[in-house]
Amino acid sequence: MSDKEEFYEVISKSIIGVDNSKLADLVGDNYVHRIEAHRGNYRMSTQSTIISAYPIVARLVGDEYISGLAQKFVEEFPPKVATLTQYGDEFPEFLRKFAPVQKDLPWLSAVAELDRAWFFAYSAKDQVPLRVKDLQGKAALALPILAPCLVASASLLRFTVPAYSIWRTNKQDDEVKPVNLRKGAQWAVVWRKDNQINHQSLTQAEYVFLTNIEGGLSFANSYAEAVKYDKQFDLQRQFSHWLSAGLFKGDEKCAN
Amino acid sequence: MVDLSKLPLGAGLSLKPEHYDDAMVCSTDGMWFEIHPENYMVAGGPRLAWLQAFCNKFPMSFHGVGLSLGGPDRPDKEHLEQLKQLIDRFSPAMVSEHFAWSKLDNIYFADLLPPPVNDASLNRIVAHIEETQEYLGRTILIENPSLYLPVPGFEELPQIYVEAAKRSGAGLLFDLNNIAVCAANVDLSYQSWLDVVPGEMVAEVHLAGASPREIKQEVVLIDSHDAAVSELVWQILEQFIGEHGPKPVLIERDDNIPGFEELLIERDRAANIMSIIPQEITDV
Amino acid sequence: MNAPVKISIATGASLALALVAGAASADSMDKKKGGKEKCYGIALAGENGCGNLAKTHSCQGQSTVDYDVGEWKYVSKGTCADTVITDSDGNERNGMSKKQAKEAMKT
Repeated sequence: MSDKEEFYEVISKSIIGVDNSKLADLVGDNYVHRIEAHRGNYRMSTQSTIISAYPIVARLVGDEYISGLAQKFVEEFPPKVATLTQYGDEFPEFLRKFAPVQKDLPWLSAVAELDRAWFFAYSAKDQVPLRVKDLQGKAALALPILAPCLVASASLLRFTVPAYSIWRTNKQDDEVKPVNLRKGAQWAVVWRKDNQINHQSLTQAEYVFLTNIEGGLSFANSYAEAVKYDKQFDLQRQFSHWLSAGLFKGDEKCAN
Repeated sequence: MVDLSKLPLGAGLSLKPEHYDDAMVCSTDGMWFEIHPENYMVAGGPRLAWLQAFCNKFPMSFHGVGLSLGGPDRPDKEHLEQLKQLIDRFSPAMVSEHFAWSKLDNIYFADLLPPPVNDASLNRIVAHIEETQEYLGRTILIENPSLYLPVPGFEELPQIYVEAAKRSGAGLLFDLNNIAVCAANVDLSYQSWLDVVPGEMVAEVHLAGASPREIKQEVVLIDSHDAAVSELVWQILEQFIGEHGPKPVLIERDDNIPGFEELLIERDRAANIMSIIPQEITDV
Repeated sequence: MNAPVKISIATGASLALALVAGAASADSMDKKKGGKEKCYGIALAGENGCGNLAKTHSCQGQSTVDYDVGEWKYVSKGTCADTVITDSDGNERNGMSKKQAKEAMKT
């Protein structure tokens, strides 16, 4: 028998709670209960990571419920790597499939996606965005063929529920506003410029436009795709904001 | 021999995001900070911007918690690579890890678990430290673990801890709270560590607070880093510094984090202990 | 998709005008803002530490008994009292109201 079987696996199984039976052989009957020091640490560290990484989900459902969700999540998806900053990517998907949430809070998984997009933007690669001065001095007709991509911190999201409204009001409003679920589908984008995280809702055509930019198409091609969804698509409405807020990547060519 | 010259022979603090603003403008003489590199293993953003700002201004120590050097498997390649990138980018004054394990078969326990105390385990840990030092291109320090469970052979833990460092060429990060925690929980006195640990191999000292917790009608002292340093640990520090001279001493605080000023008071107490010790008593 | 090729010159020109106008107005926005963003937000998610967490059981997951394998027994009761969410039947299902949450969420 090796250390692995006689030592590491015995402790490991005791910590994650699947099998305590061999611990007494290792540490003696009088000390088996002490594993709780390690077990408690494992549960607290992992669960508090999930809770702090999904602050709006936690706020919406309350302390007890989020702790229960985090516990179930940790059982199903224990952390694989030692960097807890990377832990919890699967939580929105877990919520989507978890029956009690599905039944009572069908919009919660979408809110979790926004929490994740925020955290992703927060820790994404630093990139120089496309700046106004990069465009100045270019022939007007050269602009439509630019295909800059979006910055690495950007996430484009679409929801069948008004998840962005729920998330946004809980994220930033002093007084939380009512949200009508009948509002239906929503689209949103989250990204970071320098140390500032930006987010906004999009029209479907704007979402299509940005999705195509992200896919490597030019402004002109992306515009043409967006017009298919909305003949009245007004690129002008948001373009200056996106540009000044650094949503487009600095290299003129998309790396994809 | 580990280069002791890069961290000040004075007291520092673990750096928490809650204190970034206050710490950045701290003008205390000889101040240095320690971070867990795992918390900075991100692609970019404010975290790394802060770290850059601190590295520009203060001597920094990178104190890893995730390599699982005491585990059955070799250090995780991806983790080593992320650590190397951080070290190459920020050139910290000191890099350290733990004489402990935290990973098995694709589960990370977010904990520092005691390794088996036997020859096979010693050989493995030496190999893991050597592999790490080779990969990083520098010497590291290893920290002694706390004990809650009397794992087989725990009485010899101080000996194999020192032996692993000697054989791998690593230095020691001697955590005085951990030896107090061991003494409270198992039959291993703090003096048995002080008797075995060679002062000249110690390149950094840790102090922290522990908390008692009741588990099944028994009070266990938890290495919680959520309280002020205990009087016993201050007394152990005085004894250790009295014998070996000033060292870089760090006050760790990971939970129940007070205001920066409160930590500075503890930090100054450590600095004072070293300032009254005659400078000629040094091992360096 | 070959839409780009088919885009008429007129469309291309008007799009170019739109982009140029957008750039100009972004330029003025930049200038108005002036100065650098000072805001260094911090997120505390995913903090590794090297202390054991000794907190006693504010959180359900910390029970000292073995795993709760029973039925899911939690009821959502949000800490922020005010987001009223009206569902498709027109009922106010207020997941977040402390006073109403329990009943609303059970249905």
